[in-house]
Amino acid sequence: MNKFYRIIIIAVFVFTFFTRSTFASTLNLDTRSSVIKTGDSFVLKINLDTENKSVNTLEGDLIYDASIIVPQKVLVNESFVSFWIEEPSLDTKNKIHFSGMVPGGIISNKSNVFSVVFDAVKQSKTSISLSDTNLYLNDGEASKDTVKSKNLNIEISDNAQAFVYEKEVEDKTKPEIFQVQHTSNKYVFDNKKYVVFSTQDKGSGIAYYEVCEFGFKKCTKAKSPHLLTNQTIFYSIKVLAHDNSGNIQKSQIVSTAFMILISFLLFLFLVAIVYLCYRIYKKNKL
Amino acid sequence: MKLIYTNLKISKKKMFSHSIAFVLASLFCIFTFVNADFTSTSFQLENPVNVIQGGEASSSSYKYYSNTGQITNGQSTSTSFGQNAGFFYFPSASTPVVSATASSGQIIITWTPAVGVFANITSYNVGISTSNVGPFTYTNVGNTSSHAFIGLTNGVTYYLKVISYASGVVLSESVVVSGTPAASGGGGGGGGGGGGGGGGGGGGGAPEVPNSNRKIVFFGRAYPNSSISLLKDGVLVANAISGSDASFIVQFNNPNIGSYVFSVYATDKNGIHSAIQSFPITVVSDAPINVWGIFLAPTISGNKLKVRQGEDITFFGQSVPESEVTIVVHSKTEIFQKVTSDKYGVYLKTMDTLPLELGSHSARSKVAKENEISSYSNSYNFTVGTDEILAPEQKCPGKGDLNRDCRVNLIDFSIAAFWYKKPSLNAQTTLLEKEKLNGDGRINLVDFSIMAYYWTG
Repeated sequence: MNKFYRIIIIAVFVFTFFTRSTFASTLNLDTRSSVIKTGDSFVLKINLDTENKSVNTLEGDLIYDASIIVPQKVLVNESFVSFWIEEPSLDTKNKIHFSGMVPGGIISNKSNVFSVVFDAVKQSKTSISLSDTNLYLNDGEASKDTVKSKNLNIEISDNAQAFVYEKEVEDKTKPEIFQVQHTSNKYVFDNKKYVVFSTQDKGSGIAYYEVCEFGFKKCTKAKSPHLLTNQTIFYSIKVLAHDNSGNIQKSQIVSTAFMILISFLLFLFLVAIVYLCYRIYKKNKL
Repeated sequence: MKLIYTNLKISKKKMFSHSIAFVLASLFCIFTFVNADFTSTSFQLENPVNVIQGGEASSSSYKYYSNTGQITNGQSTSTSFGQNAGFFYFPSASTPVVSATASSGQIIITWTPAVGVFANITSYNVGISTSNVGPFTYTNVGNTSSHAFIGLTNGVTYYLKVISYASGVVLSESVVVSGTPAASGGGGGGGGGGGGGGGGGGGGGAPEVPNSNRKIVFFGRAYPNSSISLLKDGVLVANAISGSDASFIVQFNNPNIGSYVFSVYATDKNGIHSAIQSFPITVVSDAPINVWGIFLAPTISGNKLKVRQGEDITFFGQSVPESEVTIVVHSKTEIFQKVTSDKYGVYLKTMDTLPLELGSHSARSKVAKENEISSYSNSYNFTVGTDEILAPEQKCPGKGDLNRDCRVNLIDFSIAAFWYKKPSLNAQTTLLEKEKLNGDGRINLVDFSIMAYYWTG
């Protein structure tokens, strides 16, 4: 064979097989249909395809037009994100911001970041998009991954086929079991004592937490990290995780000093009882 | 370019023909560039020389192609592609980790994507058989990560495996896993990984799989007698000790219905953590889920943080016993070194730093045994310079451990979250951020990414 053609064949072979594409990760916006009947509810899912790369952190903004579609709730119960730095919420109009982390990274072609239930309120065409998205690779150096996303164009129409939004199955399961950690360091709250906690609810998602300190009547709604009122070494703290269906998971942490104190008080109480019994016995004997 | 045409008064046609001539001349001119030796288990390429000329060399046992990309071997990348120029590259891929859930009349298998080296995975074949040695009936399922085998007979044990392909070429193959469909309430699932399972648990004979129904059991290989940690959504939920053959079983009982990210890592005899391997798992029923074929990457460390150019540096770590460990030194030119681990899984490789340019470098390792290939280890970073700094013994995570308790967990996360996006840090947190995170004087998503990498739970 002519040497020139052999080189061409080898070059084609090399370029077709040994050239390696490094694709951008993709954040997909998925709905069941792109045409929604006015007045219907629909679920928008934000899914991640990492293109075989391990990604451990992500952030971005979901942009929508609240005059046409109104978000009812955010669902994070199916999310792969283990810890939210900024949990997606409905605090701001027209935009849902999110940032989160998955320890050890995740390689996946379709993993749910979060979902939003929208009500289609006005007949119109509209677009949902993602902006300011950043993804970082699980490589120890936080290399920035290239990320792409495509706007989702939907049409809200009176003439669209009615679609029954499948409401979630009733959630009767408590949030996941979790641990409360009591700590202090010079970096947070000026070395004052605080607690950290986090859990997930796979059914309806976590609604809020409450922190209850022994000796204080009221439990307070709280976010982690939570500065404690009781700054002594004698503490007993209960954290209640409430999910969106009203299920509650409790976790408690009690200090050794508190246990010793309680034990000592119990001991004193018992000694006092024994002493009283002895006195009564002796009095009766006399 | 237009200006050049004008000034030199060369027509576009002439310019094109000159360019072609130049390219062809370049192709047939022989430029050389000396590289380190290349070895594998079946051949050795001594005193290799890069040639700017396409060609082919062959012996009775292998063929070797050269190409015309660039005068040094290595990878050229842009935002959309990478080209591996120089000597022949052997594409490989990590072994998919397969989990199987059996229920009435069906088995659903899911697997972690195989990560290709020098090639992209383009599709998977899933195989099924009623014998663990086959023959298997294969189905091409495309580039996905799950498949449901339906219409199966309850009570019959089926054996399954997953094969990854890159453009039609087999790159990796999972271990054989099994499942036994059973009618609802009959306790489907069970089975063990073919060829796997031995050792583990308490370190010795094959441990028993407990009986409770809804559970997720992880089978894999790490290092002999090493500590295995299992994380659920980033929280440490179980520990185990691997057997003397490095195999382990660790499990999580009674998960709720839902989607989880489970992660497994090992701690070697020197206290160094392996890279975390994560598995997204969805629990949909009471059937047990078995995850087979986990092959944790080796640990890697070195004896020097800074090495004088031309002097030796030694890399060491722990892996599966008597297996082939490949160490990759990332430099302008990637350098591959191979070494076999001893019966305790320990490997050690000394390397001359003469081929490395001055500056920062990193080394990673991976291991291959019995047709299974691990993913790459964490990186060991070092510098080639004009003086020498020995590496201190390091048992705590290098980064991310903000409260210095040798763990990276929710407390460290809370410290970073407290300062997240605040316009300025106080003096002590600035120092902490510089030492333990990326050192840009603020806490942002980059710092959380570093923390996630070093996470211990």
